[in-house]
Amino acid sequence: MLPEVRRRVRSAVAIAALCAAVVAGDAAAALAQGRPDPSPDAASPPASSAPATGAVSWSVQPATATGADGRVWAELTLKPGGSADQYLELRNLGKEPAVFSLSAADGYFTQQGRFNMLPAGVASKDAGLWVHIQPTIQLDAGQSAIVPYTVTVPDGATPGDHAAGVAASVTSVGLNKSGAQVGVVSRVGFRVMTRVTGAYRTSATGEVTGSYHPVWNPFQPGRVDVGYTLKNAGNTRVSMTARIRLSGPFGLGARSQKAPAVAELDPGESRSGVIAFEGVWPVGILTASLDSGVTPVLKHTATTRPASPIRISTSVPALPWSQLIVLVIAALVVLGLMYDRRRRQRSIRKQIAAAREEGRREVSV
Amino acid sequence: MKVRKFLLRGAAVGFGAVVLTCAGTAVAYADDPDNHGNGDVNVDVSIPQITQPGVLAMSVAGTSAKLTEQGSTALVRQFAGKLPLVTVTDTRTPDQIPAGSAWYVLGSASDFTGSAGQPSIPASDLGWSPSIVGSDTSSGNVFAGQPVSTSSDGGQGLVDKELLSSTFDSASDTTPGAWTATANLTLKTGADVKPGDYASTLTLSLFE
Repeated sequence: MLPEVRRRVRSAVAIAALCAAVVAGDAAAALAQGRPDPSPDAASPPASSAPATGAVSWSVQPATATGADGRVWAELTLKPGGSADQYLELRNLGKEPAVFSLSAADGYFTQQGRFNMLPAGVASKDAGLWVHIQPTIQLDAGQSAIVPYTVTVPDGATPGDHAAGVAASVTSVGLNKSGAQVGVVSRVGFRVMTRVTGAYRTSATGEVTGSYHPVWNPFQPGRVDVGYTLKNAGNTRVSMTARIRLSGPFGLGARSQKAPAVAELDPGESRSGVIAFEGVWPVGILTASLDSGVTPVLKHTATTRPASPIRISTSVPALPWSQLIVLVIAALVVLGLMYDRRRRQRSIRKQIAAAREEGRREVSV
Repeated sequence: MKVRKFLLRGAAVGFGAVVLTCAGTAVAYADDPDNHGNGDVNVDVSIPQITQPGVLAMSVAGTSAKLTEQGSTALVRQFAGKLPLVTVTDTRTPDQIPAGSAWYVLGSASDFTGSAGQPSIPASDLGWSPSIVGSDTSSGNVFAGQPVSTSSDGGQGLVDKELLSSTFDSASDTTPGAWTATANLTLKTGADVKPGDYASTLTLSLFE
């Protein structure tokens, strides 16, 4: 082939190869688009990889079939096997339409006395299963809806108070999952407290423990930490007051402090705390006692024994170790001094006797 | 003679003063061609009391919280992030609020589950420190929750902890109002945590 033709063919082949490479690169890029982005781009705002979401704003309150009725939460009294139709009013107060998830779960009180309901990932065991409500609802901006729900008590339900909560929740948009992600589920709801008729029992138990923390300085008093636990052992809601007393042997030097009152404790729940008493001298065996009053939250007319108050105590050993050590050391020092003096006296006497002996010897010689 | 001089001078001064006064007054009342008269315009508006019942509502910004590594040491790996802004609005009048009631927002995290079967990171390794953002209305009765430290710092972690809470004092009148809170999230795990992607769900609940 002529060199010129060869040159032309070579350049044509090169151009063809370049085009093929470009096309192949495009195809590869197109395929790559399909895979999720493996590494997050910290610079780009999250909204770029998810549908843009603004703030969602909503409210939930108990209602009748016609509208909100001003109740803060729902209190029902039903017999086993009974059911009640209830309503809640959900209002979308935001600027965009939103889809809300409606859910019900067992309710409980936190250690700080706040009502909460189980999160979505934890299964309910009690009254949370009695509440039936539609799973989702979509509302336009500014729209409100009266959503019905039913509370159905199973036939074998134990009498007494059962707590549940019902809420409307919004899940913030999940993003490309990489690293550590915290998805946020926000919910607004209220309590659904159901009292199942039957034999009510109002009772509570308590526990108290104490420990003495000494200070090694024998001239300074130590501290006693009294831990207490209050437990609702009945089947009705109770509120409790508690007072902790600390006294020395024979009841001397008694002091008391009020523990924070418990506004509501549901059946089976317990609340714990620690009360510290400062400036306590280690005088031997101290006594810490818990006095607790128990009041039912809902007054019931069924025949029940009134709740008896709790009165328990425990002994807290507070032995004066550092004072004893100081005394022992002082005694040893005194004994040592006495022994030393006696020894010195004995050696002086010996020296005098030896001197006298020598003097006698000198004289006799 | 002295009297006459004094009278002449006094008259001259008086006449000058009168002339000046007249001139000044004339300037003050000069007709400004743009103003027609000197009356004030009253603008009145009457804002009616909201008669429909107020609500207790929550608003959440739509993003989730991403934790990025910062401040890790050889023994502890530390990640930080920020909770989206949470606003609680209470438009109820004091007589619509039952005595002694209080609303609160509780936060509770689930364990961090690994996407590829790694052992999960417990929720007690997540802590936060809430704070109230700005304040349009006085926040005297609304408090940000206490900081919560992770289990490696001796705390209990983020389970059933308050983000924002209010106590209603019948003597003070802080409703209606809106309060916004956020929180700095901190995750501290041991350095032996298996690398990979983890996800947790933080549930924020507004109850009363």
